[in-house]
Amino acid sequence: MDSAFYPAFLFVGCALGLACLMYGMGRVMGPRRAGRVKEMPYESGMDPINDARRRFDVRFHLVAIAFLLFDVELLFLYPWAVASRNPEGIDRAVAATQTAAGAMRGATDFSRLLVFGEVMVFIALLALGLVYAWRKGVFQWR
Amino acid sequence: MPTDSQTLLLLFPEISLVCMAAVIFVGGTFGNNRRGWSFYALAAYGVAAFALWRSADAWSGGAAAYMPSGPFAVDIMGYSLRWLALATGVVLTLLAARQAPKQLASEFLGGLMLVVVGVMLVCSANELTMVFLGLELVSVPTYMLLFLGRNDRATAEATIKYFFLSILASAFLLYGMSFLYGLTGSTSLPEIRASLAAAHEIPALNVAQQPLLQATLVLLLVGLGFKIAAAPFHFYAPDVYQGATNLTAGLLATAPKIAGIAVLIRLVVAAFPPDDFIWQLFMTLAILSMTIGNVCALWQNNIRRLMAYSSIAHSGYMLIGLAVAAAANSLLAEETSVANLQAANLQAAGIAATLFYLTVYVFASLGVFAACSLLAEKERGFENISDLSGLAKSKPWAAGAIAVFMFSLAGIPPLAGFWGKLSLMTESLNVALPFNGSTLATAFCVLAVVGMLNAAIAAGYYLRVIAVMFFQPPTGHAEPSVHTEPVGGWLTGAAVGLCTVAVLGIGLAPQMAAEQSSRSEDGVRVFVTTHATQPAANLATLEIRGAAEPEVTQQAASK
Amino acid sequence: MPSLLILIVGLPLLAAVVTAVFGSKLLGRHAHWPAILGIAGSCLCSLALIAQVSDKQSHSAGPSQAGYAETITLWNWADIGHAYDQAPKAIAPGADVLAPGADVLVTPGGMRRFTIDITLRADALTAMMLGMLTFVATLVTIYGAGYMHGDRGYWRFFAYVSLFVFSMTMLVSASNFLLLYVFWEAVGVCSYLLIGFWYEKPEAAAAGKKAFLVNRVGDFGFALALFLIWVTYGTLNFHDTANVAGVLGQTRLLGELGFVGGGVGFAICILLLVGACGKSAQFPLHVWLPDAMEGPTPVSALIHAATMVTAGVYMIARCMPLFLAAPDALLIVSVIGGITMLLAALIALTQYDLKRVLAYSTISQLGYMFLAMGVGTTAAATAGVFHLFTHAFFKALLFLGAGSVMHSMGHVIDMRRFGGLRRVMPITHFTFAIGCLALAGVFPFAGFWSKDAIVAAVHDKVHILEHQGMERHGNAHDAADPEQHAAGRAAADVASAVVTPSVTPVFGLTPSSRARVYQTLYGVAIFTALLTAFYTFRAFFMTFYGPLRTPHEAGPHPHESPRSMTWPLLGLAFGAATFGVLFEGGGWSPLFAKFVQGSPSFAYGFAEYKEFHPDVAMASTVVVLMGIALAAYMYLGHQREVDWIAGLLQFRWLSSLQNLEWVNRAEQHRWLVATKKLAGQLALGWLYGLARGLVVLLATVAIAPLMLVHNLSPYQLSSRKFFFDEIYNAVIVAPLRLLATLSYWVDRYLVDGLVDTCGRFPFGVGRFFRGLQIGLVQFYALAMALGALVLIAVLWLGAAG
Repeated sequence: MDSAFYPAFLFVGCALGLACLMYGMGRVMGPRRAGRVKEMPYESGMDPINDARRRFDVRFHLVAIAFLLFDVELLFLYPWAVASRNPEGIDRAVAATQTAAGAMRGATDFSRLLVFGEVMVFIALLALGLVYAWRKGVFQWR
Repeated sequence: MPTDSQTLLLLFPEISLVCMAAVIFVGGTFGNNRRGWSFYALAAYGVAAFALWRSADAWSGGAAAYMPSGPFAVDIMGYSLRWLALATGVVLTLLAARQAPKQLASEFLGGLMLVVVGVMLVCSANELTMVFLGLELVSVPTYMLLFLGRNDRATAEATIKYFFLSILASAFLLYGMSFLYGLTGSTSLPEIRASLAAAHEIPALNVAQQPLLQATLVLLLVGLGFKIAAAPFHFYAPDVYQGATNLTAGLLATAPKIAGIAVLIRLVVAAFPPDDFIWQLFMTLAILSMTIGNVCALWQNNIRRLMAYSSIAHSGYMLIGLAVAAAANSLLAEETSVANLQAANLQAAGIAATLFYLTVYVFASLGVFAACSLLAEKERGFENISDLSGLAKSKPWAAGAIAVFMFSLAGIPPLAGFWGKLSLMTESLNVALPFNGSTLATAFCVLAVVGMLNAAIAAGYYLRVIAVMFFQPPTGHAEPSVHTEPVGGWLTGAAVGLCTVAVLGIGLAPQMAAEQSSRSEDGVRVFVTTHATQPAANLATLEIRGAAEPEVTQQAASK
Repeated sequence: MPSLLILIVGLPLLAAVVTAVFGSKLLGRHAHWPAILGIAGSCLCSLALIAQVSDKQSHSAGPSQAGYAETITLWNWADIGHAYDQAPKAIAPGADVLAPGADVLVTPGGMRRFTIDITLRADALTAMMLGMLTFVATLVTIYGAGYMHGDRGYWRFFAYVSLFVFSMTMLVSASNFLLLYVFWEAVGVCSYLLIGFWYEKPEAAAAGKKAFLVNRVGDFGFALALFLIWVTYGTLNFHDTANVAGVLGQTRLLGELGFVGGGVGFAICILLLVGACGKSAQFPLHVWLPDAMEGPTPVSALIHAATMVTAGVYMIARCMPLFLAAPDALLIVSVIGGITMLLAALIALTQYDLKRVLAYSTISQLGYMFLAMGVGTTAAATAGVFHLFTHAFFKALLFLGAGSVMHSMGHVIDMRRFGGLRRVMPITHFTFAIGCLALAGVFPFAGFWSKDAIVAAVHDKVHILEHQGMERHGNAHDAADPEQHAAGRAAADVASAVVTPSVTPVFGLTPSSRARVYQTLYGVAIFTALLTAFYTFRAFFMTFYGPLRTPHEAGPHPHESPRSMTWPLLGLAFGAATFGVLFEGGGWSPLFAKFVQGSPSFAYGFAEYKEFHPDVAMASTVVVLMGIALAAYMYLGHQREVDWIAGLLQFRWLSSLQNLEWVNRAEQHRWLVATKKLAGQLALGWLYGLARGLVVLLATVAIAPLMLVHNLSPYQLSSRKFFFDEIYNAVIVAPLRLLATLSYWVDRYLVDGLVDTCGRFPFGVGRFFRGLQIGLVQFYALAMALGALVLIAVLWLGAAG
């Protein structure tokens, strides 16, 4: 083994040691007074109404997944919106490949169009997903 | 001109398939006609095939059309494997036309299509992210398809098992990829290659990266070994195959295997520096997989479980070819430039043998599952080999087709499987011979011998199936059995016929297929012919040979 | 020429394929048409070929020693670049003649190129064989349409026959030893299929098997001969190709390369002879042919009389130059022929099965041909081939006649069960008579000319050899017969000029001792002519003369056969009656001999000597007439003489000794009775009993050898075929069967036991790995992780250590 890894091992060792130290100190020094409320699971500040290990209606999952999907879509669109209009982005990339000014102009226009089109396709696909979910009755609660 | 539009053109098969899949998914919610959507899916594959055929111009146009640095490698291996993936998709769709669940037929067909797209993407992926995304595109719909196959506890259990273990394997793979990124600072395969090779040239750096590289390789092998069901990552296969339907078992036996082998070739054989531990690992896995697969299959009576072990064993055989290629890689660095050319040829030949074997295996294996579907298309098909007794009398064509597949899998001449095994063993011996007593030569001699022994063991259980069909009287069945049930529809029959023709055709004219394919589009063997005839040119032009490139150019420069 | 050859060969093949494909369903009762049309077309082409070859021969003014032959190569069958890497000199030390040409055959590395072309040839011998073969085959096929009518395997019969004709035409037109061998086997297969045509009959199946197995012995010799030819001559082609001189090619025949003599040449010839003996049913491999009569009669006529069995003769004729280089082998050919013809004729004397009589006569006549082939003069060789030619006609005729008899007698063939058929079957009677006259060799029927030519050639050979012997010892000529010896000397000069340079005798026989051998063979040939005439007419008289008797299988009104069967009989009868005069006509119009001599095999190296011998002809005619007269005396008159002679030959007087009745009769003698009574009264009865037993025992011991002699009486020997089957059974079959049983047990228990043990090993390993498959997903995940860890650990430790 090479000496290049010693810092890494040192880091791992320190991390483990620190964790053990803190946990152990808490166990040794901290006061322990158990109570009903204290042992209750933390559920977003609400009182738990039942055992956590029970079956949920599959619709919870469906809605959750649909929400996640469209949420992520939004997350994707923000950086795109910022980057696509940034002259430092596409335009420079195109400039690196195209030397003649005239060609560059056309190429830049095309690239912009392409980037825009790509996102539109992305949104269209998500919209299709929405249609699919809708047709499958995901949004129907009973 | 802009490379983007060219990418679109080159990827048009995949793009069109994804769009069609989307149409199937959405359209299925409006009208769920299994037969109609099946024909639609077949048409979609047809469109994709046409597009793929047209795209051949792109790479056959020469080096100008070749994009080594992009996320996709446009080369002949990817091209051939994409054809193989399409063929797999067509056969499975033909089966699904009768086998998919009626209510969720469009989901099934769409999922299947996405799996095919995933395989096609993986086969030409040239970038770690693309590789991983492609593999996940194979895996995720597979979970769904497995579950849709049949509605009972056994299927659910099989699906869950596959799901968890697949996720675990993906995690391993991803971990390995992260190591790779950490070592090289790039996700692009050519850059990784160049970086690793450069480090390999500097002794101090090489010593430092060696242990990490070994760990990386093992991690990658866990992930990919799971995909191709290589021992010791094979445990899921027998249970899952048994729980699946014939259709989904056929999918499991082929699609992940094509993808896994493609990635192994691209990522490991071509990208890793020439070190001995690579072929040693491959050889270990090959011997383990062959042996475990074959000896366990001897005990099986359930046809799908038997095929699962058979699939494990065949992964072992394919790993022989990869071991040859990897060993040739390590021969490369040591010898003179003439020997380098020979080694390059050897590597190409090893890869070609693997790909040829893969093709042959895919058709024979698909054929077996298709024929099983043909015999029992009801939800609960026949399970045991003993149910097949006397089939030669009651359904001679089906029995004959199964016999052809079994003979091919067993490697009996003149069927395709024989040529596959022959080329693998030949390449293995080519590494070992002329025998100079080195570890490498001894190891490959042993490998060839073990391969032969395993082929002999394997013949035992393949021929047992044939013996049961042809030489045992039918056992008395009160309930409907394979003998009384009507033969599955003509679409299923067409699937069986397609596989039979492929196995017989490749078997009867392997050389002709190779020659033909150098011009036409179906050939995996193209790889061999082009490499064998002009190795020097290939070093410069073909993506797959990239690993050897730095060494050769450096040597040439030093001369 | 090429198109003709291809048509000759191709038409029967086409017919076979068409019949095989469409026979069972489409053609049905009309399954004979493709065969008849195909073979008849082939026959027409053959006749055209004969005309062309004859024309070319007369116009080619080249050196006569190489003869005339033309070849066409259809395609290349096999081509192996480096087939043989042993220096040819090491193989044939005595063969100095090989050296000049050896360089041509050997590639630089000492390797030879092994190529097999599918090459057909046209020369006089081939053309003659093709003409004869297809002509007889056409008539037999037409006959078969009548004979096989209503049989269940009607189409199968014609498919086989067409296939046979194809194979046989290929056999005689092949220009390559390997091709010859291939079709040698192919006709064997057809023969096997057709002997066992009625495979439900156990005798037929057994006969087919026997024929096949006995032929294997011969084929083994043939195959070895091929190997030896290949290592000696470096090619298997008959003809010359661009850079290789063929075995029988022009280059060699014109004397530039010569032929290998000595031990190697002798070995080649003897091995070829073994092959020929198997196919042509010569002693000691003759046992299969009589049993082969289980097949349908047209098959017996075509394959087992006229064509296939003459393949051996054809092969020896084709390889004549090779044999000329090994005179000892020639002598052996003659001796084999002599033994066979005598043996078969003796057996034929006592057979009651009409077809078997004919079968033995076939063997005997083939013996004549071998005798002729072994003489080694042009006259003898052409005579042998001519006998082959005429024999095909009259023997086919006789068989077809026998088939006609069988047909109307409800498939009864035992001559004791019918008789006096001449009124019932006039055409058959008439044609059969012509066949018999030809077979017996009565002037002017075909058999007379050919048989006489053989006998005369043997006679001449004796003179040639005697002359050589005398010259050797410096003796003066025998003044009593100057003319003959002058001729003999001339012949000997030619022979020694051409043949002797490469000849190194193996046995070291002097010419005079050879002459004695041929002299004996001459006597045997004459004697066999007597026997032939006798048994032929015995069969003829028993079948067609005497009071009309028919077996009950024949039905109440036996009748002549249909026209499709009688017309071929007439056609063949015409041939049997006239072809002798037409083609040979004694010494004055030797059309046939002249034609055949144009073949390369016959043009080379012979002593040219030919004369019609009135004395020989007279001798054989007298002998033949005696035979016929004897047969007429015995079988046309009262049966008493027959019985008396048969009794004499059977040692019937010995058979009375088997009966121990005399003991009882003697005991009735009053003196003995009195003695017995006296002994009883003296309480010595036991002594009397003891004495009686002793006397009986002694008598039995004394009789036993006589009993054996009784079983070996001339009649028994002939009737039981000299016990060949029994001897082969005891000497060859039984030990082999014992060995086979032994091997079976060793294999079954020792070898299989070991193999099974090996086979169980993978199962054991499998059982272990199966145990890991416990079905828990956690365990599987753990196994994957552990696998990865173990691999990493091994790699790291391996790198460290």
